[in-house]
Amino acid sequence: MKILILGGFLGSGKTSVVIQLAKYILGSNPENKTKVVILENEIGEVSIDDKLLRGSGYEVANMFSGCVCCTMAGELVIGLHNIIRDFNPELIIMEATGVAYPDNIRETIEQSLPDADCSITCITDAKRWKRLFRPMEMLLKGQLDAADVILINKTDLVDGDTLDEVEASIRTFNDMAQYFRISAAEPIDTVVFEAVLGIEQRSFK
Amino acid sequence: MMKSDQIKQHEHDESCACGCHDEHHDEHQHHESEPHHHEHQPITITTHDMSIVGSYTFNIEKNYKESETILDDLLKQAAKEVTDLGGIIGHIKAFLKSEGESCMISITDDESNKRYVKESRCTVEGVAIVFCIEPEQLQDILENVFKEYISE
Repeated sequence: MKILILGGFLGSGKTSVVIQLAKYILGSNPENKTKVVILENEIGEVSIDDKLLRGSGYEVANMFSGCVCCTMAGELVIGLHNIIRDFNPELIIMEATGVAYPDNIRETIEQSLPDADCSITCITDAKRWKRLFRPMEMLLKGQLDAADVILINKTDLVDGDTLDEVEASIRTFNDMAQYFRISAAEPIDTVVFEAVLGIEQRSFK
Repeated sequence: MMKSDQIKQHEHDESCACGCHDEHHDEHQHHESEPHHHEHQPITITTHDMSIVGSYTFNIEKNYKESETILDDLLKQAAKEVTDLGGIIGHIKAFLKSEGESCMISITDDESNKRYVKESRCTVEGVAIVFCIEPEQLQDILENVFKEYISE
């Protein structure tokens, strides 16, 4: 079983990517529905994103009022075991809160499910990167430095030079990951999803 | 990483890693992951690490279309007030829900009589996650912006 941790700062476009990723995996065959379970974690006392995802018809589990990278780590383990028991999915997409450190989540999962194939994809917001970079530096660094794949989102909202500067800046935190530039407002190239899912190890720009 | 039931306070100065260094934060005590529950039920404020999290629920006594416009304006106003205080917006989002149209069907003989009712109430559930302002400031902003609706 594969567990994909989807991290990234608030508003970077994680849920938009999740919706397209689930659609890509499930295709048009409703029998595939339980192959993928989306586990949503939201920090607020009301949940928002799971309502959007449930409306899309996917199998969604939700944990809110805390962050599974720290305060709800115990609940994450229980939640994952329940999902495996109830659905036995091939893939769990764990959408982290926008303030989570994905590496902490991976550590928790690997301790509890040592056989799970766990990877981290981190989404960044090209439009807001320069504005957030300095005040949120510690958090952004902590979110990005363990990512296997980094998606630079909202590329349609910045010009090419800005995009190059943003990518160079992001690479100072993690130059080992595979990088892709996307706009989740439009259909995402399947090559991106293959990389996110570890189907094919190649990079493009 | 801090647990939410732990309280860590430190002097906030230029070497602080919390990321909030504009002048109006120079002297405040910074609380990490401090539960900051208020008694106002429509709006609750919590803190997590560096973030201030405001959760809110209320109704708008209008149809869906009007409510959508109203909510859009309210969230933009909240965002502006956070930014005006030097805060950084993580996100401010809300889910707007309406039952839409309702229908009562009655039959006395073999003909049915239908009466349609257009739903004139929408429910809002939302979260505002911001940085670099005080929890009390976010509470005040949300109370002020949503005051017309949380008092109904």
